[in-house]
Amino acid sequence: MHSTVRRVDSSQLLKGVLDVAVLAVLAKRDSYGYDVVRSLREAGLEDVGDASVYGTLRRLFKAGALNSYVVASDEGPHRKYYGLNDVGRSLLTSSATTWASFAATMNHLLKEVAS
Amino acid sequence: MTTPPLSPGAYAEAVRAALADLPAADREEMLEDLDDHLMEVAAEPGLTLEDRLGSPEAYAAELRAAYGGRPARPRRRLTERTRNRAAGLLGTAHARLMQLPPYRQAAAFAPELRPAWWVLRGYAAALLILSGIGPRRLVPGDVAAWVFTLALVWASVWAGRRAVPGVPGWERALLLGANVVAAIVVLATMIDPPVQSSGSVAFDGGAPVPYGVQVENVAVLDGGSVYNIIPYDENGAPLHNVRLYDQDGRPITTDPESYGRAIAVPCEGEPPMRNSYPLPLMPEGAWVDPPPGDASACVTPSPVASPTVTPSSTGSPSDGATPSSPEGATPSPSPSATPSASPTKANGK
Repeated sequence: MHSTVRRVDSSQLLKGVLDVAVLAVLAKRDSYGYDVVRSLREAGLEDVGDASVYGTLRRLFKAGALNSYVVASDEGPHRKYYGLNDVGRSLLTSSATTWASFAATMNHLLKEVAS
Repeated sequence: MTTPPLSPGAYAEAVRAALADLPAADREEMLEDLDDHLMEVAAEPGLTLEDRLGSPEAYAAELRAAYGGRPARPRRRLTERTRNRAAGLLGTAHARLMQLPPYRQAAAFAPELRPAWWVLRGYAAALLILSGIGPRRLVPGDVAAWVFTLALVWASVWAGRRAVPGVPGWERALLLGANVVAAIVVLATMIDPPVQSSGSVAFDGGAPVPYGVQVENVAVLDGGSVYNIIPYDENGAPLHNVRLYDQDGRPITTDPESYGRAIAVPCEGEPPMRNSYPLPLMPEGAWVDPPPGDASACVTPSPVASPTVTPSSTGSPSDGATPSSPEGATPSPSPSATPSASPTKANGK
């Protein structure tokens, strides 16, 4: 399709691992959408898009990996919280294993280049 | 940025419009947190929604990719992807145009016109079906056709009122197809309205022969050379003064003047009706425009039919005189009329 090789930037890499990242944030504590966005940014994923996070949350919820509940708030809007259920936890475990293996392979491959 | 910043409501509206191609259930699922999210972002001081999140179209595209671009959903077929892309482009254009007040107003009142379209759609469908079993028409021809038409209009309105929220895909496609066909019929009818070019012609004559004759167009029958009609009854006897009308009660007339003939005016009474057949014709060259009541004008030789139209003028029709001429006197010095059709009788002016 593309005649030129595009430089891979972090936002493209992020697309592949956003599921794991969101699951990891929710594994620490239940959270609402915008809070997940902030957590990811604070963790260093600056390029993450709001809509990407919300879309991922909705998809994971639809796939049955998350539960959700609404929390009334005094000062702001009511917030819908998401949390991992058993499906989500096992998904996170297997994804983390896959990622660790993949990352090790990539690190090994890039060891000589980086140095 | 010349346009004012979008409110959360307007931004959400634009996002929804950009995702309008998706099935309603998917869209609801995907957009469930949208309003909450926009409220959160809007509550942060300093930046507008668009500065913070990009355009509504970009937001929609990102949301679509994150929500749907995974193996969790079956891979879309090419036609579906193309359709979605086209619908996405339309949605984006719609969201952009919504910034213009005139478009916004038009888009606001367009939904109010939908019931009118439902009625027109049913009417067009009925006419299309009726034209399959009869002549093309703009209005139904009889009571049964009217009943049928009203039934389809009712069905169309019913379908329109019912089809607002999520309907199954095939039903939606069916409705879309029906809409497209109806739109084509309406446009085609506006461009080329049916003309009443054919129909059944009833005879209204001296003999009881009320049968119908299919007439394409009298003036062009037989290659366009018909300028008179000679009716006969079932026994072969010629009929006189047969008045022809089309199905709408309009007289069927020919154009003998185009063929070098003229309608002879009888001595007495009214001039012959243009749709009373056979027409009393004479060669146009022989036509004299006499003073009123002139005896010579009475001659009505018919070159086409033996039963000449002699409306039995009072007096003796053979003497050529004008015993009952209203103005009397002035017998014409011109040669007395000869009953035979003589094309050489050229004493015209």
